[in-house]
Amino acid sequence: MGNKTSQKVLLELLKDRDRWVSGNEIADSLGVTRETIWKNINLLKKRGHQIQSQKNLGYKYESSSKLDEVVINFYKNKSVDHVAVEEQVDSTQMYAKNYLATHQVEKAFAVISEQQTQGYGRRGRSFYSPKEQGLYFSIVIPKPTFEINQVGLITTGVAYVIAQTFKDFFPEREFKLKWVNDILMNQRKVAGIITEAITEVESASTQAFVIGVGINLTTPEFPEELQQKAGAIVAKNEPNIDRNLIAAQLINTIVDNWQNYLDGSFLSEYRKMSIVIGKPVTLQVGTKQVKGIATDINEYGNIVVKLDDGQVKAFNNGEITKVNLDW
Amino acid sequence: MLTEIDLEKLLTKLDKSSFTSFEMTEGDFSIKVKKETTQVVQPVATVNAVATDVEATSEIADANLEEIKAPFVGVVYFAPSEGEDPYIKVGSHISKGDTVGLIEAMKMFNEVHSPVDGEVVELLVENGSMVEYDQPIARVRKVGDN
Repeated sequence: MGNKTSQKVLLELLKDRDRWVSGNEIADSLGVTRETIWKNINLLKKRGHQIQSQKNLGYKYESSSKLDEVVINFYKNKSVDHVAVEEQVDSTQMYAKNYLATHQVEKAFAVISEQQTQGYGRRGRSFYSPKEQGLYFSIVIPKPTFEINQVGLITTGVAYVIAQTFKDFFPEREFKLKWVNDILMNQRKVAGIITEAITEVESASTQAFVIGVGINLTTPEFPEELQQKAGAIVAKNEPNIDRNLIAAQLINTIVDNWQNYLDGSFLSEYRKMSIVIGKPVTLQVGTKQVKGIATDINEYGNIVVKLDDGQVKAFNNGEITKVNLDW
Repeated sequence: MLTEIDLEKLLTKLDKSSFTSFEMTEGDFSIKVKKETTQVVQPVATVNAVATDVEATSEIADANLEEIKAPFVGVVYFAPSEGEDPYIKVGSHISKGDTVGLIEAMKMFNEVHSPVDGEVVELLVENGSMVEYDQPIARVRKVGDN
């Protein structure tokens, strides 16, 4: 017993999370005793689920402080095949790529972990991923449809929909985008995204995209080198932070907006959230550096820079190493 | 401007690629290509030349020399991250499918794989430089009959 029954009880609570549900009701629908329900509710509470209980009313599911496979998969959309939940992985990107290499993936698949020991971002830079503070996940998008010039629409589009989802959950906070796909709050990075294309060797076609997202949700402090750059979205003790729901909504949103990335319809909103447009920037393009004023994000998601020599150029590459916000 | 030869190369590559359409603009020249979904049978290269033991030079005439080409426009990296050992260098022995580099475009990373088994004889671009779609980035002397 135990495990399976507790999952069933959890699902019953989730289905009726908008109302009070009595122990009798759950016992009846699962064909077990009220005693069993009571025991399993206690078990669920011990595992970090917040469940209100009140005499004469019964139970009401609130949220969970821990990631939970049953809960996330309850919240996920049909377009997502499954969300695997891990306590600790080296990195969710590696996990996802390994999964892709060993399974037939026909539908979007995701993995989320409480902790990453080797979380990484662009060019192998490490992503600080302390236990139970952030949301660290990767999504496999199999057989993506796109054209070669739409790559920038995918990466900027994913950043935009993540920022929008943050807005839905934390409407009183202001999120900004730093080209290409950094998400900032109070000028500090709160989320980073890495996208890797997996190419089939024989056909040279794209087998899948693996999109990795690292979010500093409640991270209370950062290593010294990140202290001026990184920030957390909320304090750990703030009420109503349902990590499972936030994670599931992010995964749903990223997967379900594919067509919206490709048609670029989000770009006008992206521009409004851009922290770089109109600002002097330094752009590192491979080994070269350019300086100028960012004037626009064009229809391919490329950054348009008026260079110091007066030339106006669009860049489909590079990293903004400096942006002068006081301009 | 693209030369006629460039254009022909580009079209051949596009034909073989999985992309169904392609657009590019360069100055006042622009091209838009759309592929119908009919399956195109790819001509099989008939390379039967026997490997010779000449010095590794970049002679194009050597039928065992194969170019590894950029699958994307972007910045090419020959190492997984700064400070790490490169995937390949001149003299490296590589197998078909091995990662030989990374191309970054708009924060999207693409691994570049070797199409053949062989030995790297030349890196054709510098680490961190911009490459165009289909630009050769390394030259490999094939071994075996792949």
